[in-house]
Amino acid sequence: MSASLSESEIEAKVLEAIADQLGVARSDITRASEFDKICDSLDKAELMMEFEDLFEISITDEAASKLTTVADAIEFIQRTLAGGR
Amino acid sequence: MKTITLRRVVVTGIGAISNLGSTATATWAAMKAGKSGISPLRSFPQNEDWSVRFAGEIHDFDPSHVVDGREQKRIDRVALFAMVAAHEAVQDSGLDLKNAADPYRNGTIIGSGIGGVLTMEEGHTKLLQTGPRRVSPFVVPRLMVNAAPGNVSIQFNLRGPSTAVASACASSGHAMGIAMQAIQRGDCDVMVAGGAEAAITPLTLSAFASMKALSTRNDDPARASRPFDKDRDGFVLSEGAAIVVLEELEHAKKRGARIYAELAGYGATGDAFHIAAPDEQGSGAYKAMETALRDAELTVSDVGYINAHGTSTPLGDKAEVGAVKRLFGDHAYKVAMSSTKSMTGHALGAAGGIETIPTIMAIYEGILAPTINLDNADEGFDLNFVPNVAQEARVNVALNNTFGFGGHNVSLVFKRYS
Repeated sequence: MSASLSESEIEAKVLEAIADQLGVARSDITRASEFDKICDSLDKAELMMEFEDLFEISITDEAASKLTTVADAIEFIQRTLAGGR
Repeated sequence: MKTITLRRVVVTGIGAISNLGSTATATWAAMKAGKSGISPLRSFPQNEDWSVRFAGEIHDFDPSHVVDGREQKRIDRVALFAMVAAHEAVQDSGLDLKNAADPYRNGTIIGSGIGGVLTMEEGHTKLLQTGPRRVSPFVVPRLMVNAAPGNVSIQFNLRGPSTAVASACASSGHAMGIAMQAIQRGDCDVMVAGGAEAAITPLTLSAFASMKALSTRNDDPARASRPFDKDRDGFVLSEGAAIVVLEELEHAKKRGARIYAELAGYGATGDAFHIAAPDEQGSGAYKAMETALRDAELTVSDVGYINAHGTSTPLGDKAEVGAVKRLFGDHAYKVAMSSTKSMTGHALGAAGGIETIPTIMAIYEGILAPTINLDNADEGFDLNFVPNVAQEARVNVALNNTFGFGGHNVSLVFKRYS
């Protein structure tokens, strides 16, 4: 199911999840937003779990540590889904 | 050897959230009117396997005026209760703690019997259902028993002593007593102190029920908590928080603060008897009250009101009444002693904090909150328990008793400021 998502659909879901998790307006989060700037390490850890649930993928700690911006996360999710897991 | 001259400590702010009201003011108004905060349980589903189906829950709790939505998700209900009560207390005191010239002179001690047990249970359920990789990173900062003082220290930039106390139902008493001593010694000038509890959960309720500690009066919850009554059958589990602002006397006078009362004495003992049952003679309770009065340089004949621990358990009430009668002698018949747990139920680690309100207000307003549901006092219980209806009295000195599982006993002495 998730594999058929387009990039813009992934982006919309990611932005919505972040805004919801952090309790901020959706317009406050962009592809360029850096996780270190918008949340702390605990928020980021929980966000990774949220992405795993949302897209039915696995994000290892090593992979998560390389996701600096929201765009990084979107691209990672897209690559993982395209890879067919 | 260092010699310390003890300084005087006064109460300049009060805040609370309870099943009687979302502020200390509302809680006190309900207590004076003799209202019950006990109702059928709502927070989780129960079937007939549950022997206890009511509690003293706080319904429709909304901390949004103090903590925003994002932060709320990171903080357990117990610490949110503490933050809401602290907000009211600090506002009531008129202190601007956030912008204090020296924040290291301000601290916090908040007691809790159990801490974030709601988070513990939800986290454990998640672990069993979805495995270790789905356990929230917020579980630890939410469940730790010191989450309340930790969050309150951030809330008001309190950089002096900051810690939690966990002595079951005596937690609030220890917290305020130790905070008083920190100011007396000169470690700091202001302490935000009290207790918080949010432990009406499936595990906690069933565990207390298994101990046969709880009332099972399911058909009449509002009349289930009946301290000193011959038909009492256990306590009613409740929740909430209460915080006082304790301040060094000269510090308070200098800024023209309203002073509710002086916190003048602290007595703490251990039963060394049984982990959950009270010493039937109430020896530890007796000694805690005696020590607290000595600490305050007062005697039993000075005391006008006692806010009893009075949980409505058969043994606990008996031990406390016995201890008061032995310690006070003839004066026991001139003292009023009520249990406001008859209205609030037993908020465990928050109980002593919530009960500072009627203790202080007995002095400040001259009104004694009643023991409701007291239809027939038990045999030998022949004191003035302020049955069912508030009384007026001029009180100069009042005791606040709190005793906890583990055999912890605390008595605090408040006196009229003059």
